[in-house]
Amino acid sequence: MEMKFRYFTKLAGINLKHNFLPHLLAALAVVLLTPIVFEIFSLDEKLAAQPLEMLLSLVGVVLLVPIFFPEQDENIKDLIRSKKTDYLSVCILRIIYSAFTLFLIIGSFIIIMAAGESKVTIEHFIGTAASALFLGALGFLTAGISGNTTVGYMTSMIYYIINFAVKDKLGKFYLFSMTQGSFTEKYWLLGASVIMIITTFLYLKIREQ
Amino acid sequence: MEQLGLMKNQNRKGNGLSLYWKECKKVLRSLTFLLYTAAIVFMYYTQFSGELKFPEAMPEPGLGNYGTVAREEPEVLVPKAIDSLIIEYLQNSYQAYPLGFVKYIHLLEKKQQQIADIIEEVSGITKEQLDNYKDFIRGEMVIGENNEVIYKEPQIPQVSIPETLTYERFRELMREADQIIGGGSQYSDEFIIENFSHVPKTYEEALAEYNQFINKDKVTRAYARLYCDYIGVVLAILPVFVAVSLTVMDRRARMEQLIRAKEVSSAKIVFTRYAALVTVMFLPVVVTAFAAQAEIIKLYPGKTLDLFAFPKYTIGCLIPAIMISAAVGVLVSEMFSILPAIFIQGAWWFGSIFTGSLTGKIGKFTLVVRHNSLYKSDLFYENFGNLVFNRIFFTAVSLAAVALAALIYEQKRRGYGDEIQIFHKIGRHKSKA
Repeated sequence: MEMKFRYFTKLAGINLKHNFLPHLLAALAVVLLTPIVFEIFSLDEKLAAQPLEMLLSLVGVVLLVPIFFPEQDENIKDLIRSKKTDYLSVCILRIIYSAFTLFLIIGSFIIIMAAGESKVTIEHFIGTAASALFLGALGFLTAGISGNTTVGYMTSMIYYIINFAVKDKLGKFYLFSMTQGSFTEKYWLLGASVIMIITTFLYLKIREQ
Repeated sequence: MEQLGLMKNQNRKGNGLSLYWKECKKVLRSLTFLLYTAAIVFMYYTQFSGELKFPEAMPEPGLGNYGTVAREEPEVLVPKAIDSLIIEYLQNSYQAYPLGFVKYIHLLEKKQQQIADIIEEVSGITKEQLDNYKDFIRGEMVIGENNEVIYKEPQIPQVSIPETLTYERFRELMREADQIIGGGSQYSDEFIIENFSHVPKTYEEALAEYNQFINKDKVTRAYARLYCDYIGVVLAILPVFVAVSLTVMDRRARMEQLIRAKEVSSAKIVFTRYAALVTVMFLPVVVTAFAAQAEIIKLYPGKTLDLFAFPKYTIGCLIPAIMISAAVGVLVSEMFSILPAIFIQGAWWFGSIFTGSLTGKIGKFTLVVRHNSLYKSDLFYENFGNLVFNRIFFTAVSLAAVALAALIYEQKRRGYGDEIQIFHKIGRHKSKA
């Protein structure tokens, strides 16, 4: 058991070092871009939701969509197939640390906003995480099923644009609902995110068999 | 010998054409192209087709309501700007667009004092009165008891504009306020009329606008501009995905090594692929633009239409948009990897969307060119020079980027340059896992 834990810790370390770094840097670039695009200090609850939902949520796309990216190269795919570690376990490991980083980034950003006298609450954290997870999970699902990370990024981006185009007509799956003063959509987004991630793994498991 | 040379030339031409068709087929069959087409169709139906339900009606005299227009009228502008400045002072939150993005500026005490001095001069309300005012309501939309949306009027101290205050002095003070806020505020020369001086349009104004739509724009030009506005938003970003997915497909099919070994020039391979990308991606635009034009012909029987408006505007405005986005995909994925290509284009698109004006202002270097109206054509023609420069500039930059991509590709074929694929290389290290 301890051996297995140590093995997975080592595996996580290697993945973080070699696969995760460029995506983490891209996520940090989105974080740095947010205060340039939007005001983040001295905002009331509705205005505070704007930078979080409309820009910071893209961190979900940056971190969750490229889970399968390293294996996009056929040579690496061949190599992975020959390894004893279950490929899906590696992907689960990647999604765990990516989601953890996502929550960490959103949480830290909200703490900075609170320090700058913006009226942010725990709802802002959950709501932003829900939108980010949904955008990321949507790309993760399409990337996993199509076997093409670009398709994943593209689907997430199209859905993001659709939110600007048709706004709350998206109903329960509207990403920017907190900006309009509504929170119930977030439960649907969270639920759908979990379903999409599980569906992707189930699909890959069945395909592997 | 001469005949042999001619045959060789024809053969080369044949190879070039067959390579082009092969690339076109690859793009057409890709999932990213399917998504791209779906996005264009979606934008067309959800955003643009609503404009095609009814023809624009000629204004009739005596209706009383013809909409509003931004026109400099001091008696309207002055009280509204004063109210707004007081509201923003009481909230200590000033809306501004310093970089084109909306920002809410929080001022320190010294600057608040300077704003209070301006308020006192234009309204007679002292800083003490402002700071001790307890019944402040900023004015906002709220949900009522029966879920109806109600506008709650703002509640601020009583304003009394001094009779000695001239309009010139007022504008001077507003410029000062703008400087204190940091520029780009609602009180700047750029925004003050648009923000505070909306007045009802007269029948004559409405009629002149309609006549311009019918006679100068020949109906279709106005619709073609609006079509380009909506579709241009997605065309400034989605082609990058289609372009990079082609690279992915090749890597996956291990075509890279195979292509590199073949005796076709790098420039020919890269430019042929790029040409295939641009032409195939223009197809959904042609189809939807044709559908739009057909609808407009049905909507305006008997009117003189410019039947070349859609071809002119789509070729002039949208092909450069496809070209630049695809060129970023081709160059950056060749230089580094697909991820930075998507990220760079995404960030550029995002910046352009959030800084750009919805209607009228077309910058020389704006990626997303917008004119979100069937009217205001004067504004469009004023900026027409910028538009032409902009589109030619981006076409030239795209071609230069693709030429650079061809150069890098050539280096790789010769066996150099793989090391610049930073992200790709990082991916390779994964093998350690």
